[in-house]
Amino acid sequence: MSEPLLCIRDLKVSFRLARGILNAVGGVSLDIEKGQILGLVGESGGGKSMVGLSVLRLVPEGGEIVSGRIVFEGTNLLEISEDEMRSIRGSDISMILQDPLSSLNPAFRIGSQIVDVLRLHKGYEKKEAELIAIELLHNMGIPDPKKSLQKFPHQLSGGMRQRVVIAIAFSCNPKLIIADEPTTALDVTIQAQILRLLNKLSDEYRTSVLFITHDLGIVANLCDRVAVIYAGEIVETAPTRELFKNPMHPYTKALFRSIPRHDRRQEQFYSIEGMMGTPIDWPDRCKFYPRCSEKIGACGHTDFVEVRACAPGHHVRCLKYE
Amino acid sequence: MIEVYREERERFQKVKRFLSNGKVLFGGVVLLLLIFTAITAPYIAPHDPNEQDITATKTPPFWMEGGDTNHVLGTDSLGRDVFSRILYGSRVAMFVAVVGTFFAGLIGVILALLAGYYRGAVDNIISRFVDIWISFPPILLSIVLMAVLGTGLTNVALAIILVDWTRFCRVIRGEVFNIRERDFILAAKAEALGNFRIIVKEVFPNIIPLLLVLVTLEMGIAIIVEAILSFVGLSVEASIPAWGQMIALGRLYIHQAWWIMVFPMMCIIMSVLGLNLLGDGLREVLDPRLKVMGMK
Repeated sequence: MSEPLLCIRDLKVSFRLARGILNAVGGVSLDIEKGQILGLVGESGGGKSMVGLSVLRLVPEGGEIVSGRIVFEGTNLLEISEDEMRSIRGSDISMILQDPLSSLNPAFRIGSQIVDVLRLHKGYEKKEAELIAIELLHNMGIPDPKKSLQKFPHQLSGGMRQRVVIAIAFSCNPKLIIADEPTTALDVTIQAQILRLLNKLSDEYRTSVLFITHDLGIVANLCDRVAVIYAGEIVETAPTRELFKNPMHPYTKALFRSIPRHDRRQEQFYSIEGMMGTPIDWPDRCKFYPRCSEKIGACGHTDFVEVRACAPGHHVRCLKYE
Repeated sequence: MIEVYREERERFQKVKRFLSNGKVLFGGVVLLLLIFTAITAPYIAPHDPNEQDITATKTPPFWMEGGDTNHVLGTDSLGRDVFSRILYGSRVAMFVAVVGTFFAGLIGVILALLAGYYRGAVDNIISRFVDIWISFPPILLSIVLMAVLGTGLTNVALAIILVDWTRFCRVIRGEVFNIRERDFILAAKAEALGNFRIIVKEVFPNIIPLLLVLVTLEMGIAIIVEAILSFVGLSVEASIPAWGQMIALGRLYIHQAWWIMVFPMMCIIMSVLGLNLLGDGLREVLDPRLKVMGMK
């Protein structure tokens, strides 16, 4: 098998707070193959966004990538200079953020925002860039792209805005796109359209996508592989089908149980007991231990739980499967 | 065709939205009037403002008994024409308002952008400096500055710049703080824009509405500060007519010739009121929250 496009190994990101050190990401390893869509699933505060930001080295102030490797096409992104990193941002790796209203600058027409990116990274002339922008918007399924270029972000609907954001992300033919909950702020029908678009574009351009979400339904439809993250640790990774057929980690199972089902009468919605809390100075044992309903005797004492393969391509971090 | 028509109409509605706000309309008219008189004072003033006429001192305005249409608003204790002096006085007021506000804004905005964008140590240094600066009472500070710098028009402007840049710096820094947390800044970083470019192209355009409001308010403040300084005789030389100076002189004759003091006072009040209302109205019209809600 060829080398993966992006290979994250043992990534640790921590924030120094007054209360202690917060380990937002604690040793994450992930692989994304070329053209693959990898879903990174977990609940809020689980560190999924931080993994995405780390890849672009845009961890917010106060946070720091403590250790690990992020190898993109053979280069360790954590070792190159800021200038070299900037030449990768936007052109090789780009990002789609959650809220399309705030990820476009309200002060400029969308045309100039797309044109700016094209000129910056590809060195196009203004006229040329405008033509490409029209073509891009057309590909995104935006009606009357020429007129849309003249509009300000607030004149477009949420779905259209997110299409523009996606157009900007794809404008320089990146090899990898980090999509951080790109459909969370949209309503369900628009969500489906945007996902279909992403899927189509990823196929057409052979672009890999790191798709960060908390919605397992989206994962099922879109992703080739899934990684489940809890409190900054990957607890299970598997091909999408395999994961849905045979979830193994108690957290993954609990996530599936938390999806409301319309075909079964439920007295109460299922939810995982307790809260994840903030991972400050947590013991090294399994992070899900306090909330786990399937814990066994050894769980409380064993410091480090290894990831093991239980089926081809299916890895899980749980003592039950030792 | 219909499209063109619609765009025309949208543009027209934008203008209408500005003008339908009474505050903007009133303040705008005041501001235009001020600019007009400041520029054309030498051409429209009926008399030389310094021309003394000992035979016609303290002539009342024309509609009063003993008034003279030659001196529309009367004359002062030295027989100088009050109306002409008021027209010329607007030049000092406008010079100070425009120059003082522009440079105070420039300094304030640059420091605010740096502090708000880089935060951390940069913000600490700039903000603590602003705190210390602000802790001096502004009027006292400007009087001390004038005493040190000496009188003169440019020095008045300089004193106002040195006192008032903090006003811009504080307010805009807060706004920059908000803006830099928005996703489009992160998106710009993910598109590999440099810090300088992000500040100039992404952050700055978004503070313009606020800046516009601050500028109009600051112009009003500058006019007041100049009036205070010239009232205590620390502004321009005595040969240049200024409103504060006229009030100071008129104060001595308030019982015999109220018009010497009252007309320049009214000018100051109207100018400052107009500029404040303009600022207030602009805030209403430009507030993006109201705009998003579709307020016309």
